[in-house]
Amino acid sequence: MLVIAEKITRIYNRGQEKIYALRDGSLQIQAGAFVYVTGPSGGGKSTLLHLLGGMDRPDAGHLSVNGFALEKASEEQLTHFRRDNIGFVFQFFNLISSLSALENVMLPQIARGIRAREAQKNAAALLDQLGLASRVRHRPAELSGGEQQRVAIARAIIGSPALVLADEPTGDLDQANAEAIIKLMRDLNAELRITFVVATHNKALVDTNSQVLELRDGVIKES
Amino acid sequence: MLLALRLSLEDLLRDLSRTLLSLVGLALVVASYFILSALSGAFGYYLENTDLSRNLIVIEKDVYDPADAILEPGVIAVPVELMPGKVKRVSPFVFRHTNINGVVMILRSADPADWEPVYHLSLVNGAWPGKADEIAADAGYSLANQWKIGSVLNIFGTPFRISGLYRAPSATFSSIWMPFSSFRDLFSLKGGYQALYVQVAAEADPEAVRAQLENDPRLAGKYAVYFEENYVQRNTQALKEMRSLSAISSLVALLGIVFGIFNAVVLSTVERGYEIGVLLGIGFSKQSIRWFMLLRVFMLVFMAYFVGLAIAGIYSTCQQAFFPLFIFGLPLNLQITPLMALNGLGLVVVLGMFGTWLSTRRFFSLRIVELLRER
Repeated sequence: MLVIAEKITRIYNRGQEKIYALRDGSLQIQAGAFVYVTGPSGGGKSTLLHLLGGMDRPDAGHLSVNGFALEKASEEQLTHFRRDNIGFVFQFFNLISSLSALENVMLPQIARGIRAREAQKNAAALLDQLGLASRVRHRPAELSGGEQQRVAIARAIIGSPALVLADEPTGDLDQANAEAIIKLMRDLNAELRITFVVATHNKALVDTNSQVLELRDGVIKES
Repeated sequence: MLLALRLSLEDLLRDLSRTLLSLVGLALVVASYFILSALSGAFGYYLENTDLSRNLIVIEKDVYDPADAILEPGVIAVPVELMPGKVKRVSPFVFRHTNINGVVMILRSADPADWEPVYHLSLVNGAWPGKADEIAADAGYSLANQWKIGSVLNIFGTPFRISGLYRAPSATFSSIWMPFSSFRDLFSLKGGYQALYVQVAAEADPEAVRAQLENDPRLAGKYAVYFEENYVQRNTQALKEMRSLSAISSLVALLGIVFGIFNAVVLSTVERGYEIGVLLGIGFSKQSIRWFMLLRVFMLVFMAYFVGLAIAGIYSTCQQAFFPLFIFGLPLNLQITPLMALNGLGLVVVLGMFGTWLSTRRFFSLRIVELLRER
């Protein structure tokens, strides 16, 4: 199993009040799977993705990704874990505005210590593969929403991570672009065998033949 | 590295007006540091060039005003007897506080042969007085009063011409000097000199010589013998205090770098909280992002450093040319030395680093998810 979560809980304190963003959640995800996480806003989808990506730690329970126990890891270990195992796609694309598409895709490789020349070559090849060869020198503001999200996906998969986490990747796109992005991720999943966990509140995009986790009030329900 | 440099530069250019504002603020702080350091250096110049500790002064005891002191002719013989083993040179002198062209100054006189070796006057322009109506004036005083070689000064109703300009190591001797014969004629002196300078031989113990002179039966009880240092102590102390004050002020001014950087970095980290969260999310460590911020800060402080250095250089040049500064009549030469520039660079780098650390400390204690909520 790529992901094993056993009774993970994440609590946020809002003043004296305790908010259970995730309550005793258990799940398993196989390597190479394409998993949807659905549910209403505030249901805990982002919290689950942040925990899976090592950007946050559970308050209770056990969580391991690719054999790495996240709940006990130090800050430095989590940085290495994210660098080597995780790719992120966020709702608002989150490309660095002052960098070109090519440079944005180079970033995870630079974080890994790969030489700029090699990182540039890899990034250009991947953008070409995703149909963005003519847009490599463009800055995010010069790209459409769909193009920006494709660049963000390229940035997420450039390091061949074990797991790509996409938090509402289509939230800022129209239906046609949203479907194209989901299709692109599914194609990459099939082609590269990279595991994808995609959070979305848009049920129309969910392929019910895949593993679907529904999150409501911090409780995970597998359907 | 090139990418980081480019990113830093573009980040600075992204909000050009704010970057320029920060740059101007920091440059003024750097310029203040250099001007105050140069001022401290100018004070230091006079202190470093004051090497008077081996001179003794013999003057009548219990005289209310030293100008009223009288030196009996027999007194001179006492230190002369100690030459050459213990005493190198003996120089009797006279002085008067007098109004010269509307300025109250000390007029001094001694054997012109003693002016350089005993009183450490060094000629910077013209020639030492060779005629009865010639005088030598301190270069600083002359600059302050716009006197030149050839200027005629009215002293005690008699015109005198400046034949030479000199520089003295301490404020004490910065005045007008004339040969003793001219002085005697000017004031119709009946008596002789007022006090005696005794230059102690290099190999002798100055304190032992001082004690020997003071206890000599011909001087004991009637004359005091003390170190020249005591004589000039007040001025020297004032110079020392002003130097310290300038040095402290220059360092305090430079602390402005910390606050300037703190503000600039805090503002930009708050604005870029989400982007930083994303960078951390894709695998950059907090340390590497701190380095990136440091690089950005360095670009800013280096620019501010060179602009500040240029401002200080222009200011000191203009100050010298149009509004020269004086202390006790001594001209203060504001000079930014290479050592000062190097020290400034080192301090700017260290303080910039400190300001960055201070401003990112709280920010980096936040979790990534908290940063991602900053949008």
